[in-house]
Amino acid sequence: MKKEYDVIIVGGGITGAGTARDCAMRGLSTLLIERGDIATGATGRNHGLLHSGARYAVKDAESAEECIRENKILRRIASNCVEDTGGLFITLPEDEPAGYGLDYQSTFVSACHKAGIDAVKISPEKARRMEPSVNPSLIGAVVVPDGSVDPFRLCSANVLDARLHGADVLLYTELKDFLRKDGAICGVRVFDRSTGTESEYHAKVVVNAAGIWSGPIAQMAGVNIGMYPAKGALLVFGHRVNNVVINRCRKSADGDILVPGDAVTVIGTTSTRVPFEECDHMEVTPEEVQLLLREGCALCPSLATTRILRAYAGVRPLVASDSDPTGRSISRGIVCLDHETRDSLKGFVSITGGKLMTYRLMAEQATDAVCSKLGVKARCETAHRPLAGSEKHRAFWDKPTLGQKAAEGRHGTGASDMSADTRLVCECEHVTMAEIEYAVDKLGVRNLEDLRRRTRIGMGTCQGAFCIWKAAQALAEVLKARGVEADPNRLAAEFDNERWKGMRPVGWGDTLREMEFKQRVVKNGQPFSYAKK
Amino acid sequence: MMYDVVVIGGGAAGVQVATAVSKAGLKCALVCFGRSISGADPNVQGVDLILGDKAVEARYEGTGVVSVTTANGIRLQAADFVLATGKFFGEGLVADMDSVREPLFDSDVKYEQDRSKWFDADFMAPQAFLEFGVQTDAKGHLLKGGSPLSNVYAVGLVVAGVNAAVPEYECDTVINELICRKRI
Repeated sequence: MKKEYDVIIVGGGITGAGTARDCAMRGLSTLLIERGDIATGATGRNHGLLHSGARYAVKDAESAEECIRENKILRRIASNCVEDTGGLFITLPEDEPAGYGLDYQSTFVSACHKAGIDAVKISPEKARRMEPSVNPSLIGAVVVPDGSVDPFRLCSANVLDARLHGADVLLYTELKDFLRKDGAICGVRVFDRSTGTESEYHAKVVVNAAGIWSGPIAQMAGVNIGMYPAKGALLVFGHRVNNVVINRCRKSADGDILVPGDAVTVIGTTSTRVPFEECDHMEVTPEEVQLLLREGCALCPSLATTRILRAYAGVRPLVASDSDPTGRSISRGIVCLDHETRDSLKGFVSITGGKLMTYRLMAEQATDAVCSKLGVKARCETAHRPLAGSEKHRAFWDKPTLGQKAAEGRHGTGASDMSADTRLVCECEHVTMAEIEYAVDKLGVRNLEDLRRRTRIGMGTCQGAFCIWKAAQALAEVLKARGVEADPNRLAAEFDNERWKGMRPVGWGDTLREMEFKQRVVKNGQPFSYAKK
Repeated sequence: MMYDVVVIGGGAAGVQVATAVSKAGLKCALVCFGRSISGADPNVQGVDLILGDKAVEARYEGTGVVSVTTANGIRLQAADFVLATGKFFGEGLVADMDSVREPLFDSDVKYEQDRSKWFDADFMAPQAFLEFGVQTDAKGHLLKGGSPLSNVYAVGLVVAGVNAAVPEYECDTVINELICRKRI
């Protein structure tokens, strides 16, 4: 750790992580601070959709072009985090009278081509063959280059890459105040939540990349950004119902994207303005669940009888610009603010708006602003160099085990660093002791939630019901061996509560059965009762 | 075939009742959804086990039940019936977004109408939903439409107030009642 950096970045979501990578790659001494773990804001609470941009083609051509450019870049540089599922935009019989029939489909296809998106109209029959779970009553379908992306993996890869290029990263470190000198921002005072101590770090420039929290952080610096918190709710289904992303070919509305990711499927999303205070404590409402189920079943009828694993919500970090009550017409454009020119405050840049897909471009803009302030002429290489883990490589093992294959799928080239401890901890996602050690040593893991984000432990079909005790003991063992105090009961309790939070809004049907099962396994030691005599 | 008692559910409560009444000389059948019964006591000698099947329909006469029919079409007639189908896990109770029901007899279920009260945010804290269940009278008769069914009893986790995570219940009241009824 240094005392003085070229740049300090506040926020460990995808934007902050991407900016840290770009800054470090351009040779700036970089510090990234994050109050919790990586990807806990909007980065960890979205669809995981690798947009083709087709959704924006008709109404926001600029966004659509940006999207497809970044889509192609991410497939190259983040191949380990991306799955090429392909996407469908379907037209249903009820769309015709609503003005979104096959005429609209033609408009849609033309708009895609204009934006550089490869959209191909196919017959409903071909669509059904391509994706058997699609609503069989569809009257039209268009294929687009959508994919799915694991946002945790993507964020982690950027952070790892930044560290490999010399950046320092402090997690569980909260910004308390800015340091000022001659009216300029010159550093930060932070609070380390694990040690309970405060420290100061100096920098020539501080970048505010804190998503929806950029608002209060800007206020702390004495400037104002009007943030527009737009909540989005999503549901995760118990297994991968579809293999191709399914969208509705109409004006963007709630619940019209169904995305497969690893072993599950996600439906989303909604858009409701929420007060800022709610951003740290979001709950999914019954109305949101009903809406998502209804719209999801229109895309894929079998969702009606599919177990729902959990519900979650995130907040889009939109910048307020007009008075649309739902927030959908606000352009999701990138907002990069140099507060020196805007507010006469030197040493401070905010980067916000945008979306997960365009994080790399947001990072590029923010880093350009930083470099221009520092007189650094290095060029941005982030679009050309693969992220840590996504480099082309030869096979590491002649006969990989399931755990090794899963680890390589998640960490790419990082998997070759793992030890040979193949004891299996999570069976749903094939996570071994070796991967847990790697995650603690190289990826900054301190608790089960951190571990979940980087290895998918507990994200599979059992939501940790079967593996949580093993995982808690295993992680505690690994942490203690490295001199870090760890209580397996506390680790498990934190994890259980997080999983519980996601199950409560969908607590009926098979989900309720699973909830009872979990309660009985944990509280009773086993799920079967033994009669008293 | 006419039984003295048909027990529906092969969990600990169902097995306890079936074993006890069979030992007392009653002719007993037990229907179980799983392929094997659970519970600590495997001595079900004398009990006709119908495994891998589920009672799905009941036929009524007067204030009582004359028979139940399984998913595989087996019709079981008995003098008395015991509902021991457990809570949500074994589908003794079924919940949708708005309500909870007991699917075989559509009996009276005690549950919280306000969904926001079903769960506690703390996983380890008591959870209201774990105590939902069917209503019975003091002798263990299952209540339907506010009145007790004359020859249907409920035991175990399916009963309201029995906590699925910390189960405490007794079957002796119902067992004694069944044995006495046979003697009469």
